[in-house]
Amino acid sequence: MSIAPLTPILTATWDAPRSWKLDTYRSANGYAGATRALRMPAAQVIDEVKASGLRGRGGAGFPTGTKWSFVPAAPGQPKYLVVNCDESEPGTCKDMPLLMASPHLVVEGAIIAGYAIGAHRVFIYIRGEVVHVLRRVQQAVAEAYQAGLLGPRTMGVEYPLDITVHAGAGAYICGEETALLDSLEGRRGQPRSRPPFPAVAGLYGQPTVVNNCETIASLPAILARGAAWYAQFGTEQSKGATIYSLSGHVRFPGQFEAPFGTTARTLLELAGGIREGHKLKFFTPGGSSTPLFTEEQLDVPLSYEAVADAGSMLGTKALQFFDETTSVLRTTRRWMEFYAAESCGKCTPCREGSWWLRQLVARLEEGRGKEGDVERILDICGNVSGKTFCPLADGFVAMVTSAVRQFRSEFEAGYRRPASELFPYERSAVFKSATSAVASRTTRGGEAR
Amino acid sequence: MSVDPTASPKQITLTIDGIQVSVAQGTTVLRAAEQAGVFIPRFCDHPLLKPLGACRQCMVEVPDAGNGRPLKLQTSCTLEVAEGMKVATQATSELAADTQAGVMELLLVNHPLDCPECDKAGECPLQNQAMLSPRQVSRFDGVKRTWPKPVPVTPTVMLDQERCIGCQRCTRFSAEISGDPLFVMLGRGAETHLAICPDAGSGGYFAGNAVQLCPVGALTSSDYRFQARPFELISTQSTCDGCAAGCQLRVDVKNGRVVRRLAGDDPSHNDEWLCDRGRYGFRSTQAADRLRTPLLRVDGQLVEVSWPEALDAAAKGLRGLTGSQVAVLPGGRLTLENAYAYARFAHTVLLTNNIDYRGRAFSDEETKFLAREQAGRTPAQLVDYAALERAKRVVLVCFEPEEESPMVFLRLRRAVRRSGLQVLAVAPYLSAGSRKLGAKLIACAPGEEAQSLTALGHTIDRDTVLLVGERAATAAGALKRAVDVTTASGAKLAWIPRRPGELAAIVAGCLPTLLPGGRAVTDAGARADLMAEWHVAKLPTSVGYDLAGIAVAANAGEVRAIVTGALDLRDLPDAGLMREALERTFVVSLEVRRSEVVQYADVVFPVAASDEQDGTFIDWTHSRRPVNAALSDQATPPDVRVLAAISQALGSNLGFHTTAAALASYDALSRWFPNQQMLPAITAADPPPSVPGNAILASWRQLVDDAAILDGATALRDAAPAAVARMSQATAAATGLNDGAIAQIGAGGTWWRGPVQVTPGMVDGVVWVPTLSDTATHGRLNALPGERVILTKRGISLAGSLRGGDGA
Repeated sequence: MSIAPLTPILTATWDAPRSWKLDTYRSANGYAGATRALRMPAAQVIDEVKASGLRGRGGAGFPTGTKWSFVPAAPGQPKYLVVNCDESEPGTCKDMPLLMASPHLVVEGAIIAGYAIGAHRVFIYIRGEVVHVLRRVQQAVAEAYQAGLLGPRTMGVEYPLDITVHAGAGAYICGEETALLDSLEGRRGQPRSRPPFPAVAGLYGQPTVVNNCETIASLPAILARGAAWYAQFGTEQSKGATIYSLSGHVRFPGQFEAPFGTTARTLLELAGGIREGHKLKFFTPGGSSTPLFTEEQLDVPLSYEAVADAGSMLGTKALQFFDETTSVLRTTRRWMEFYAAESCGKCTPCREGSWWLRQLVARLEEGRGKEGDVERILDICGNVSGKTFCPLADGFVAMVTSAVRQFRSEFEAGYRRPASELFPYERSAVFKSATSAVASRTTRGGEAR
Repeated sequence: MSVDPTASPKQITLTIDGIQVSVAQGTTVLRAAEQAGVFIPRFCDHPLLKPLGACRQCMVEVPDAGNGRPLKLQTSCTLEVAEGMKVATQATSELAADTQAGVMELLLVNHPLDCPECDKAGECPLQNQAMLSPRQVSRFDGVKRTWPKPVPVTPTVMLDQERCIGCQRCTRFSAEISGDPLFVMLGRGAETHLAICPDAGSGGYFAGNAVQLCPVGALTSSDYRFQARPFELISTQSTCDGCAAGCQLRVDVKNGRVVRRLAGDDPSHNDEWLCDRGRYGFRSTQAADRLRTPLLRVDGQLVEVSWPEALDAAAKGLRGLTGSQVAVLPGGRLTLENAYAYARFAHTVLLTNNIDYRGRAFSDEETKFLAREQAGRTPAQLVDYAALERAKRVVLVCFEPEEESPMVFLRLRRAVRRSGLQVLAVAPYLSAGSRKLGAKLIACAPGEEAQSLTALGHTIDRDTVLLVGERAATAAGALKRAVDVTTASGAKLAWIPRRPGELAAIVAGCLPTLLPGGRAVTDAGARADLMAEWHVAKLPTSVGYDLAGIAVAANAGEVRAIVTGALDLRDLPDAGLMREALERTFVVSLEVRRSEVVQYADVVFPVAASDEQDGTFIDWTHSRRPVNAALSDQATPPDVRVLAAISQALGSNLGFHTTAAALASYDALSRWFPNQQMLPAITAADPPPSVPGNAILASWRQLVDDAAILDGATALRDAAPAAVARMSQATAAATGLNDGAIAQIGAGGTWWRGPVQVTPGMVDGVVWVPTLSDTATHGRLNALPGERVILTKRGISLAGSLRGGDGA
């Protein structure tokens, strides 16, 4: 299998010196897309984005242009664009490097999207813990204001547009668009009941579009080079290119921008393969909320439709690879700890189900499981799945059930033996320092490898 | 929002478990199911709160959303009906049944199995629905989360966090209904919990509703906690005697003792809410000073005697006294039946018009107002709760709804939130209650309300309702002006007194100018009509003395005997004069407790409290509200019975002996159309006499204060708002006072001392103090609103002795 070419669009200038500065960005044809968009009727911008086939990069893959067209025209009524940069799922790490390297992509994209939907106020909602990213985006927005790109006359055109950069308070659930809106309004971040949908009544009850950071960042190229150019990449239903985040037991983890439909095998090769002397055990195709794949699915084209057909989700395209040293109970427990901590607590199945599952998985990992725990886990997952307010619980249910289905014997081994005996944890560690640290903590009998 | 409330909503037809039902557009599937007779289990859903969809207990299958396509599992509490929709609940859908069973199991994961010691057990939605769930034994064998418990949230509310299922009914009640911050949800996942708002204070006047709303035992009332099991309770539906709002309530009795009051469910009045005064204010009749046997003064001492002895003594003291020689002071807490008995007793047995139910500040202007504008009100003139919601504008005059009629406050707040009602408060400052109504202040020093009403001009129009409180009697000209401006503009006028018996007393004829049904005592036609109805040969013809006149006449020796009902001398404008009057006269007192009046009485009859008798209250909307005895076999008859017995002992006949017969007698009276000519025109009262002073007094009763009815409700009293003296910054500065300093206010030899709360926007030159709050600490002023008082700085700090009164 030949290696498909990388398609650096979003990542094109990441290695440029001071790539985050306005000058750097401009010298690479920056703000050409917004310049073109602002001279088109807004409806035409939406059509162009529709034609490009751009789909939301937050995980659900909803067509972006279609989402915009749900916003009622209603002249005079305030409308808002919110850029969702609350990236916090385990394994997902595309938006933060993007914002560090090319914040102006998001500023320009926000101008295009804001203009398209008729919004004069854009909020960039950034995960609160990543202060360095927050500062970088704040500076980029300040630069844009200073250069006259934002304000009463956006890029010299009679269209006022302001961008507010807002730091979240550090909650995974605020990546869910309606919880994000509540958080942005100063409330406790919890998903809202729908309908009404944000496009009709979102931020402060006004029509609002919430787009993922990468979605917005994809707009400048589409507008600068045209929908047809963009649509040439990817597959029929998943057009364009995207950032794949490879992490875990690979030789060169990182961001790889390639067309939709690229296989995990190709990406894995680009990342230098599984670390030396080891072989792949399982991987997530789209972050911790997506059902696990194994070697058998390495050749599934990474498009929304093909991954779904193969029983998982493309999600945020966060491919975490795990080799044969890894205990699936250990990963499941770690992820479950995450979801139990990040469940917003609003609805019963997620709040109580995550509490219960965490305890069951934990005791299996520790070798204290009871006969029937595996069936119980599957049954609880069934009672949670599809019954919750928002998809957070569906994410952990998908993760847990796929882990049990594919590695059931490992779970059942947890009735008798701790996972750390079957899979000595220090063997999974990548870094030497971590190896010794893990060994000293977990190895019985003091024998470190 | 421009929803036409008169337009009938579109009807939507759907099928639930094969049952076709048509409901109004916008109805949720859960409510539509109720109408179809299908019960869907639920916890967070409440008909008076916005849908939340948090508990997930009510999930149903929707094979057809009305467009031929199925929906994924839906919470029926958030799903709106659609034409042609098909819904399958747990009754017909295995998936829905399994889902609900699964949710129930999850709900119980962290819920403690402490039902045997939980107040809610036996009336607990969680327990009841869990018992209906197929899985009777939990598979959860892990660790439950634990919390410190119980946590006192306010003096009246306790929190057991472990039992909380996160339904957010309490937080939604605070946000949507009362506006009083109490809880917020804090934490994430299973650690999500109720946190007490930093500004919750004592929880406001409605915190008890959160306890009643809680579908588990997470919130309990410190008053009822561990007092009873639901199966021990005998419940009676009745009407609250806490104020004139007419709230329906449920009275729970255990072993012959009231242990709890809950809000009833009456959409025309209180919905499912009750204020804490009504909820907890039932202990006073359980006090040690409760009267159970008649008392007779023998050698200066009151001694217990038999009923015949007491009746003989009463008859002996009253015999031969008629007309101006006797007087009747029934008090303002009576049912219609009792008030009617007092009226008929005065008019036909004692042949006097010296009867005045008002045990509070009043004026001649008010007497005329009550006769013309309240006694003979026609249905067209009436204002009810629904009318408040239909109004575009409500003007509050001498009336603080949250303090003086809390259910009116809640209804106004709902109208403000739902339909954008505008509230204007004619007051010296914007009170906390008015702020919660988003009210605009029409700043006005007490006594100048009439001028303020005039100044409002065309703001008062056909879509306006004027709500005037009983304090208007202390504002010269206010009642007359209120009538004038409403007549001129087509606005509506409602008079909202505080006491539950005021309206009944007015229509029953417990005023010196009135006979029952709005008949004027001076109207020969009315008298003739009534003599025929009552089969009596004569009725007194001249206007009697009002309460002040009675006190004066008693001191002058003219009035020689007084029959009193429940009267609190602290509420009288000139209690000293009344004390002397009671001292000089033969006093027959019909009382529930050993009140101050009893100390002056010669004969005392114990009477039933409102929990102990049937009857009828008439609320401020003039509608009849049934009072049902929650307790029976009491040694304490209703006033009707005692007055009938005294009449008999006097050789006369009251015309009835029982409550039911009294009501029948009243209802048998022909409807009288008052001859307006015979009722004196309303004339503005004189302003209060000018006395020296550097500030004008503003004052009203706080809902929870030293009221006798609240005696014994210790937790509630602990939650009472602190007593402070409010004044503007300029007024404080002019006296050398600042926020938190101790002010001293004097009038007529009485003093009030307490901390200053500088109140922005308050009218300069006015000082406000609560009328009867924590008087043991602060003292009490013998002065009426609008009168001049002396405001000074107190040199020696009293802060150490102030209980919760420190404004700092």
